[in-house]
Amino acid sequence: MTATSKTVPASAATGVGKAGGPPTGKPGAGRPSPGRGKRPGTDHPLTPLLWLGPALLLIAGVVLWPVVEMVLTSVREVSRAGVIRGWAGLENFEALFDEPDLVPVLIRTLIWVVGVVGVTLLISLGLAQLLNARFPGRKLVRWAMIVPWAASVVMTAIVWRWILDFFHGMGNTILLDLGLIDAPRDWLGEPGLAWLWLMWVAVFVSLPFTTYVLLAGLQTIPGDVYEAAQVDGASRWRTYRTITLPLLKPAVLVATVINVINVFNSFPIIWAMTRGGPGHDTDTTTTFMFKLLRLDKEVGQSAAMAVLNFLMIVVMVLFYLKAVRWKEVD
Amino acid sequence: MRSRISDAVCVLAAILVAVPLYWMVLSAVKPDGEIRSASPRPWTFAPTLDAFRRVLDVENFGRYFLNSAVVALLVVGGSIVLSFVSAVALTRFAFRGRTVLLVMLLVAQMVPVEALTIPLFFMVQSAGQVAPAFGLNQLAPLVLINLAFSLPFAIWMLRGFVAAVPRELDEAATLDGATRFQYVWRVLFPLVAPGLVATSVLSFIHSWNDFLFAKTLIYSSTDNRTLPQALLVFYQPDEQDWGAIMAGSTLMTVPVLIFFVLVQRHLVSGLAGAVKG
Repeated sequence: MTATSKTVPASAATGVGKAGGPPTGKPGAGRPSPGRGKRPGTDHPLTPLLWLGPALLLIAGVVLWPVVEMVLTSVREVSRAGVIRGWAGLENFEALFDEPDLVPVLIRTLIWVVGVVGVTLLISLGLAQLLNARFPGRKLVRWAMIVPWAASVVMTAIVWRWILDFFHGMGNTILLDLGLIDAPRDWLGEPGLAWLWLMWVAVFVSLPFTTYVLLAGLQTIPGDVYEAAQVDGASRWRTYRTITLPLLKPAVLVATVINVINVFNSFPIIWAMTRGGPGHDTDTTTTFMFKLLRLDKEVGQSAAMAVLNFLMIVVMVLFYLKAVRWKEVD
Repeated sequence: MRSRISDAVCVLAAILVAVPLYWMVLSAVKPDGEIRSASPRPWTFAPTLDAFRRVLDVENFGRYFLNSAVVALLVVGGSIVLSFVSAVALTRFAFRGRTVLLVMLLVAQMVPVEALTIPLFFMVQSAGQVAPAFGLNQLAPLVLINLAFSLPFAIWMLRGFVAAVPRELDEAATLDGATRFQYVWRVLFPLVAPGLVATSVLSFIHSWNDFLFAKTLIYSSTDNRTLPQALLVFYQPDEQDWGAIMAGSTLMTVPVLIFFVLVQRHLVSGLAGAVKG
């Protein structure tokens, strides 16, 4: 006991510098493979299960089980009142594919995901670069960046909806005063305009997390790499392209995957601002699924849409991970 | 050379990001007449706390605030312990199917939650028949559900962090005679603290801001509502009380902002763990 308490602070102290403060290019960090399997035979094969058990049980019960229910519902015939009438085979899927609105909604979802994630990444790359540099007031700017993250997405969407309100909105007043528009516009009433505003809000709420992830990535890049580039006389852009971006790859990867998942499933923004309207003109698969369930009472068809939605994200993310050759590092 | 332009860009970005927050607080203190005005101004000369009074009087606000806080803190506590233990297992034990498990965790992150509300509703309903505390209109299932949905990402993030702690430490501690349990809780746990801070922040906002599950599960109890749900009372299709909504949102956002600002420094290093794995 005394032996432990004597040595622990010492070893902890060396470790704190490594895991704590701003991670500076520590040798071999994150790739501890050489130490793998140092104590063969000490672990019972079921030991990891014991450690993972509570978390996995909870996830299985609360996430996995409803997903199974969702899949089952998609191949069942369910009445409008929610009574299960029997198996439907693939009828729900057939009915879904017969919906004239499905294809436009799918295309729009693709534009939504690619557009929002792409723009978010581009802006965040710039912002992270700027926030990584030292300048007076950096702290304040970093705090400001956190705001959309801390505020609930629903609230943010409601505030934006109100800013863009036709009668009482600030947006029209400011733009009229600045002379940018001649007459007040119904920003969320015209499908094209509404769509752009929705995408903007989605980018807006995704920026903080993305920027912070990229910022974290930038800080793992050791400073001496840049010094070497400077000595070689490489231009700023060239340094960025050939050194920063490749080293930033893991961070970009994490940011992309998480954003694709979140943006794909993003429901509150569209629902709070336009309800997917007018008609289905600003619907994505997620709001479409919700409408099938709540407005049309097509329980089975909605579940089919949910299954399709889920499969699309899984395929998209796995495809992306394969494309960038993601591997389990350790 | 770059400083002027980049300063300007940063300040501009900061202003732009803060617009909704400013708008929210401003609308909360504007008198009613100005809110419904046809030419709204981005300032007010007659700030009032009427809207806050409306929120606090009409609604059992303190109670809902407490409910939200209890749920969020339990979720944070649970996610710290469970995600840490799981992350240790995923990085310190070599076992078959580890990569599959990691991918499964990522997949669990992708489920469309809106589609799961109905199965969850029935699940909680049946749970309530066995154990009333875990039934509908109770806070306990809300804690478990929010915890379960924030765990996959928390584990994923912490994993990189635990992996970054050199294995030599494991051996040093073992040589010193520390049991695995002692080592994990006395050495590893404090070392991954920044990562834990980052995961707790994410779990906290996740459950603090949750509308969907709260709305589904606490459908009739007025005592066990959480904040986001309570705010919807002012959000009626025809006549929204914008002042009250914004006052309520302000009260709801402030604690999170304080929490964020307090841990901001650890946030970047915390996320660094996630991007290394």
